[in-house]
Formats: sequence, C-alpha cells, structure tokens
Amino acid sequence: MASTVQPEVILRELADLWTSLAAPPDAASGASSGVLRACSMTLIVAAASAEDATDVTATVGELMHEHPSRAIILKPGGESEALDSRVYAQCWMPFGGRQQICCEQIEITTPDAQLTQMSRVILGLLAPDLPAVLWCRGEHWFERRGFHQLYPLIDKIVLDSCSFSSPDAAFDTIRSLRSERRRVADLSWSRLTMWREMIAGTLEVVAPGKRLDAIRSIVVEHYGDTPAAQGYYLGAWLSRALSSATIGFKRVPGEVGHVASVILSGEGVDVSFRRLEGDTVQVSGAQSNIVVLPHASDYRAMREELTITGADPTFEEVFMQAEELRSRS
Amino acid sequence: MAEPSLLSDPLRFERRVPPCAIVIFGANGDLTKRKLLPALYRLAYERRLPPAFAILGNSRTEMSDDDFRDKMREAVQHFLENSPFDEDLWTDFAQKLYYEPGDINDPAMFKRIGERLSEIEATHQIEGNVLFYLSTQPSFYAPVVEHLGNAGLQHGSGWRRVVIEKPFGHDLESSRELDRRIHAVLPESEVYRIDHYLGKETVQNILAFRFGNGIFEPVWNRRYINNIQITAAESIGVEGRGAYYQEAGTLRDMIQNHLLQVMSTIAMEPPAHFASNSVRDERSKLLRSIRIFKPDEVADNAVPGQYGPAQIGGTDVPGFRQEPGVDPQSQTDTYAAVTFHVDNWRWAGVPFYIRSGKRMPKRITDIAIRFNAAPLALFPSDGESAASHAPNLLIVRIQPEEGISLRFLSKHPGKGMRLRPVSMDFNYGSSFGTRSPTAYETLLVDAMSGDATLYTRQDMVEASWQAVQPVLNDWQNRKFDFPNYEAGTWGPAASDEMLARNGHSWRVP
Repeated sequence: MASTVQPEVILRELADLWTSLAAPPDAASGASSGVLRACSMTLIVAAASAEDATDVTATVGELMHEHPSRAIILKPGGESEALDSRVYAQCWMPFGGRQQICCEQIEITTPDAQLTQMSRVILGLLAPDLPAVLWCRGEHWFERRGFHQLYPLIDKIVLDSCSFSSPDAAFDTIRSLRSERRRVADLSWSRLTMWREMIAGTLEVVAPGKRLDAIRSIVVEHYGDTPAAQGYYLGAWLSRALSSATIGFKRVPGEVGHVASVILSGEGVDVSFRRLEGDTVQVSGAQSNIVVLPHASDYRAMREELTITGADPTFEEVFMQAEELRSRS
Repeated sequence: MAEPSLLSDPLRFERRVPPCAIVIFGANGDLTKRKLLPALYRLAYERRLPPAFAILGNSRTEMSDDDFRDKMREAVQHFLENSPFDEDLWTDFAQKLYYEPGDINDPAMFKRIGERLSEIEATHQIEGNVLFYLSTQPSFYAPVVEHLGNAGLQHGSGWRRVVIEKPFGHDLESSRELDRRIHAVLPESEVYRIDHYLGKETVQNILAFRFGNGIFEPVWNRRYINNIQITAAESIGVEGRGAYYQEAGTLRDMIQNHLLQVMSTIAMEPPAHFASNSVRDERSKLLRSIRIFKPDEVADNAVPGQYGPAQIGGTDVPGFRQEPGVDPQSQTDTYAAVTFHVDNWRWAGVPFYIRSGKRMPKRITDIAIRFNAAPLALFPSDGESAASHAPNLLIVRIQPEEGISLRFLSKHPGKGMRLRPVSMDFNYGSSFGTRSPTAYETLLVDAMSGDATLYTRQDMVEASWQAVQPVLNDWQNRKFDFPNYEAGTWGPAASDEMLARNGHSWRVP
C-alpha cells in the first residue's frame, strides 16, 4: 500500500494545532489564557503494540514536564493497515503557573511493509537542531527490516532488556548497536540507580575507602532460572568497584526479572540488601533498616535517561563487564 | 586528590548530603519561617536530605519541641512555593525538629545547645556534623561565633560550619572586624557567607551561558559591548522594615552584596575549573578590578534617591519618611545608582550601570548587555530612528519570568527595507517545565555538602566593600534634598542625567 503520510502535511496540521491552542480563551468555558510552546528534543517512541501505543501516552505526557519534546509515537500496524498519522497536543498547567505549557505529539501507524517509508517521514519531522532520542519498547522492532534506517537520525537509543525474550537477546542487540557506534541505554540499568545509590551510601559507612578491599564475596540473588540483565549489571558494577571480591549468582523463588538481594561479605564486613516486597528493601549489617525506594517505573527510568544526552562511561564499562559475566555463567 | 570511588556515578546519583544537624539561631524569625524551613522541607520531599538528619532551633521565645514543630508546620504550609504539602512527609520531618529556647548572649545557653546536640547525635547518628545557621541580627554574628568557641562547639567528631547571612559588616572596617572575630574561632574554609542571589538558578545559568557556549565569549568584551545595566527594582516599599532599612539603605542592602556579585558573574574571566575556589578566585579578581572612586569622583558616578508619597492606581502610597519607624528627616537611600568601571583589558571603557530601588513601577531584576550598533547605517531610517537603529541587546532576566532574550533588527514585512527590533526569547518556565529549586534549597545542600562555590569568600566581601566605601563616605557627609523621586517611578532625574553624560540612557525594563 502506498504511503499516505507526508511530513509537510503533518507539519501543517501541527501548525494548525498551535494556532487553535493559541486562540483567545473562551470566556464562557473558563479556558486557560494562552499556551507556551516548548521543545528540547524529538522523542520517538516505538510502541510494543497498538495497545502499548495508547498506554505509553500517559508516560510520555509525564516526561514532557521535564523534557518538553516533539514526541513521535510509532504504533505497530497490521498488514492490512496503511501508514497513517494523527497529531495532538499534551498540555499541562505548571503548579502555581498561569499559562499552560503544551508539547506536540504525532502518532504514526506503521505497518511492517511501510517501515522504509516511515524513516523518511520521520526525517522530515525531527525538531531541527535538537537531539533525537529513540525509545524502543519492543524487541520485535529491531528485527524489522527498515527499522535500522532510523538509527542515523538518532542521538541515543533507549531499550529495555526486560522486554526482550532473554538477556542474551538484549545483550546481542546492545552489542550490535554499540559496534555501529550508536549510543545505547538500557532501562534495566536505569532502574538500578536507586539500588546502587543505596548500596554506595551504605558502603561509605560500613566500608569506607580502603576497607572496600576487605569485601571478598558478592552474591547477587535473582528470581528465575538465570539472572536477568539487571542482575548481571548489578554484579558487574559491584565487582568493578570491589576488585578483591569474587562474584556469584544464586537463584531464589520469586517474580522473574528482579534482583532479589545482594550480599556482600568479607573480613569484618557483612552487609546485605534484601528485597522484601515491591520496592521495600531490608538493609542488614552494621546498620539495619528498612528502605522504601521510589518505584522504578518506566517514567522514572526514562526521565533519568533523557537527562543524559552525552556518553555514559559507567554504563559503557559495566555493560562490557556484564557481558563477560554472562558468558561465564 | 583522591581517586573517585568506582561506586560513585555522578551522572545519575544525586549528590549525597552527609548525615548532619542544622542549628538555626533566630529560629522564630522571618527568614527561618519564609525561607529556611520551606527549603529544608522541600529537600526532604525530594529525598535530598540524609536519613540521619535533625534541625535544632533556637530563639528567645519559650517553646517546647512540639510548639516549635507546630509553628514551623504553619510556616511551611504558608510559605512553600510551587510545591504541594504532604501530610505524611511532614509527620516524619517534624520528628527531626527540636527547639532550645534561650538568649544568645547567655553562655549557659550554648552549653545547653551542646547537650541537645549530644542527645540528637545519640538519636539520629549525625556523625558529629553540625551546620550552625546564623539567622539573627547581624550584630550577633560575632558574639554567637565566640560563644560557640567558648562552649567548644566549633570542634566535634565531625565537621562544624557556620552560615552567615548578609550584611557582612556595615562598611569595610566593620567587615574586617567581623572577619577577625569569626576567624579567631573558625577557619575561612568553615565559614559560609550566604548571598542568596548567587543561589538563583538564573544567576548560575549565567556561568552556563557564558562558559558552556562558544559564541558569546568572543564578543564578551569592550570591542563589542557598549555598556551593561543591572537593575533590581522592587514595587513595594520597606514593608514594616523601616527601622532596619533606615540604618542600611539600598547601596548597602542591595548593591554592595547581591548586585556586585551578579556583576562579578557577568564580567569575570573564565575559571580554569568549575571548582569552588577557581570560580571564587575569578569573582574576587573582578571585584578587585573595580575602580575605587576618589572623593571628587563620587558625585558624577553615584546617585542616591528616596521615594516620596504618590498615588498609584488610585491608592495613596506613603513616602519613605512617612513609613512607620522612619525618621521624618531620614537621609537614607531607598534608591541608588552607581556607574562602576572595571580596570582590566576586557572591560576598560565599558560602564557598568547598577541601580536598585524601592517603590519602582514593578518588581524586576535583570541585566541588560547593550552591544555596539552596526558600524554603518546601511538601511534608511523611516523616521522612527530610535527603533530602526536600536543596537543589539541581550537581556538576562533574573526575576520574575527567568530567562534570556536577544533583541535584534529584522525587516518589517512589506515593501522597502524598514527595520524593526524583534526579541528572541528563552523562557526557563516553558523550556524546562519542572520546578527549579529555590536559592535556599541549592545553597543549603551546598553548605551541608561542603561546596562553597556559590558562597562569598572574605576577600570578595572586602573587595565589594572597597568598591562602595567612597560612595558611603561621601553620602554620609552630605545632606540630600529628599525625597527626590515619586513612588511608582524609575528613580530620580539625576540618575538619568548620570547616564546622559556618557551618551547613554536607562533601559525601561
């Protein structure tokens, strides 16, 4: 089926949208007085499914508050569907503000056969002179012909290894993208930030400075038969910092995908971080307490990724080490 | 320098505030209620405070811990800006609030503060780290620090720091005396002089704007810039602070500290690193490059003003001398304008016009950088020559509506080459839709973390007092025909004349 979507048409629709948003307020309806337009990047979201394209809109809307963007949501289309698009705005009133802030969103329905067309459409839709980030929410996109044509337009590709069939598949994709010198991020890594901060903060107290060398053993307990990518990342990050320690993984019953606990031990150091329920962690050791971490939602992880537009040397190093751990296990 | 730990991840981790307690002297005062507690509560809301944390308030008012908690709750609810109040969070936060009543002139009170800190240490494991915040009248700064020293509170198992609010002295001599007395107890590295202007996001953004971009620094000098105007205007009067203001005046209250710090940020050389002392060294160098007026140069370069009564929007507004607590013959400046000259290679010949005043037409703080006009008037004037040959103007808006705008000329649509000035705007509020931290949130985290970059060092304080001291001396010995501007106007005519002598005029913000 021929392409029915032209960037010029979409841009004209966006212009009309802004004109309508900027229209004088309707006194009777009590509508707000005007809008401010904001854009700091193009955020392309490749939804996992048609339903996901709807579901993710709320998350994208939340992200806009801190990272105002032109959002382009790619909705997987069925074989019989044509390349199609619609435009709309996400508006919010800042707390205590007087004017709404609005960002534009474009949804493009993208059947497999039209993927090549799609990258051309997107080329015409990128917000000029600003970074472009691709958030890919489904493994299948990487297997689709023509999807890779998007990569040269993109400054950073964000994927979620949790959404892959296995850590192996996720690591293979990341390695392949990195070999093409693409900047890649994995939300499984971003979701570890609160855990890592908690561990780093605790170790600063129980094993400051050189005392880190006293830690001889790292055990990462995981749910499921094999560790998820998150488990490898956490293990790699710890063994990178605790060079005298050996690392092991241990299976425990529970919800697949999460890290269950981290146990660090050695000469005079014995500390563990055990997930109790959801985001509650019990820290045991020199100080014992319960920590309730903020929920590691897609929004939270993605918000963190969007603040990092340049290189992320810690993740680069950890990824290589995690691959090594995976190949050994 | 120690190698950073491989467990750190500065790209992703929030800067960790170490366990500590804050002792606030003057905890029943306006600053504590309006700024400090709302800022600390907001930091707790954002999980920026460590779990091992406590606040101990002190003032003369007799109150229990619970009374203090109730009072602070009211203050936080009332003064929290752009932020919701979370009941559960408050319950948790309030458990870390303590109060010790007593007179700060009483040595025994400092012993009690020491005992309370020991109790707090046992309950909250603050690791001996204490930040003493002096939110008192300036005349108590030195005595409080000396009492801390006598009670042995300047040392402990952790760090001890003192935060002092401006003014740091009321002239050069008194600032040196204050410094001498404080340094007898604490080294300079533990003294944090707060100038909340430096904590404002937009003032910090000046550094990002100048040194993070490549296109501005090449034109940031005398070859391209004609003059720089810094305006800090308040639409309100002294609002019940007449007695205090009468002793201070605008030159001391605004220009000597806030605005000279802003000027140093706009005009300083690039630091070698973005590190506390590198940045402060450059600010200090700039302040020391300000030309010191000879007595006979003051009249040409500085104008005082005092507002008189007026009717604004149908409301009668009193003059300064009619304000409660103000001497009917007061010679205090409620307006001050000064032309500063910076004697270095970058700025020689570029005047820095700084003005600040009360009861002006609106509340605004901004910096206007006026570039030289195009060397040749290529396009014909259409009779509106002022507009069609307007030089480029870069405006850094500090408050309200923080942002940056650039004015340039553009062709008016239609026939012929008729030019019109247009403005290209960057607005913080819309470009980053999230809430910016308040200056006090930023500065409190910095002090607890030991980062003094945005705090004023003693040499900077002395340099800025040196810059204004000749003006203070001159004004003290003269009698002005006040009031010389009406409330609701942009200041006295003499201020316009000061710029007119250089062929310049004040921009209307």
